[in-house]
Amino acid sequence: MRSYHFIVPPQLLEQRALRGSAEEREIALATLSIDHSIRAGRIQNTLLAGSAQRLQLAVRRGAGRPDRTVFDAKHRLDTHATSVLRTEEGQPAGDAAANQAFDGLGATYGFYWDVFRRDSIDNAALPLLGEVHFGERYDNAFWDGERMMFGDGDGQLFTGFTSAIDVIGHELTHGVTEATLGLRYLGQPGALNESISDVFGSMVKQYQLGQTADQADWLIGAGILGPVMQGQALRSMKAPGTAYEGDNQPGSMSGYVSTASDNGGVHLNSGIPNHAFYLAAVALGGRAWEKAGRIWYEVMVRRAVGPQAGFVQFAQATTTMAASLFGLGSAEANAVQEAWRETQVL
Amino acid sequence: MTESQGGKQLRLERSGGFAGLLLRASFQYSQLSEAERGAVEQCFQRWPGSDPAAGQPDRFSYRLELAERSALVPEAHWPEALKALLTALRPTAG
Repeated sequence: MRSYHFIVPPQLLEQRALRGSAEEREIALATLSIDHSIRAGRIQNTLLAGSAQRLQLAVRRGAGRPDRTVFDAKHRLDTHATSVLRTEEGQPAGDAAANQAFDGLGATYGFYWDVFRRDSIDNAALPLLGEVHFGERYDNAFWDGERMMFGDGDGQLFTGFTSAIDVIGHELTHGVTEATLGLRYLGQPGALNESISDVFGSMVKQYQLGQTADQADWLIGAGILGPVMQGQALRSMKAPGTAYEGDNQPGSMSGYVSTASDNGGVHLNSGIPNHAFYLAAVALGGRAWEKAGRIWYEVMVRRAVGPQAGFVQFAQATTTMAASLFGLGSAEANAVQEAWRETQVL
Repeated sequence: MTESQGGKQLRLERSGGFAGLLLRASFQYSQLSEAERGAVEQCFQRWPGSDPAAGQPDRFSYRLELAERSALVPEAHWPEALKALLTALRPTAG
């Protein structure tokens, strides 16, 4: 097989495109665009060569199928619960939360596999472990690096967390981010970490509902609010700051919040990159995961930004990635750039 | 308990979680039990300051303020002795 090599390594071009001066960036992007088709072919060949090994592994353990176990925390704050409620081999549990968690984990796995051929959180078939009935009246769900915990809610602020598939998609995506970009959970990298979870959580829901970008509600946490919370959801990617009474998420840099709470406002300022993704996805039309989602995903798996990345670096990386995937000056690259401009990041 | 602390309000704030909601409560420090005051003191010693710190995604964090002192306690380290205080937390804007 003939091997093509470039004098300037593509990684260096990508670095220039991301971090160079305006002129360096333009030259790097043009070069990347020219060599894109050749590199794409080379990557495809590499993938094909590696795929034989992966295929053997896949056949052995059934890649494309999740390996789920749902445990019962029995209302304790126990992150290592051992009482099993449901496994792949077992029948549905006599516990609604366990079945919802099981299904949500499966839907999230299915989204990542079907769309990106990603085999679980680590792309190496990591078993998906969940715990329901975590804590007493516990108003939260979180991924602790090994398991996903679901509280039952206190019935006032929240009615539970297993019924919303975007919540499960959100939490498992924290695992994917940990396995790829490793974004520090503080300030702007923390807000990006949060936003990526909302972006992919929303796409998991849209994928399950078979929705196009303009059909989706772009809400996060719809259906889990209790009577104390006046609103329709926890966050709106379409219109940040409007999801519930008291929602003060900004949708652009003019509303950026400086605060010491919440790891530096990670759940507030995530509204800005959330809205950028929404704008790009709707501008591009079709299904969000086909173009905008692909661009965001490639930034993650290619580790196009570092763990300390801020909004500007991430915006530049997605814009560069769009140009790399779809061509310099393409509608996709322009839509992504315009989305970041509209949110005043670029 | 020092004299200055006795008449003070202990302020508690919970932030983070999947929802990112801000909840607050305040307590008359002098009305806390001895065990609770001891646990608060341990928090000030072990988790001093109020600068935001990197944490685990979607976990809660608790801020305690008493006069000039403050502490930022990760959820996993919230003392059992202070568990009852959490029931007083209520949502607040901003």
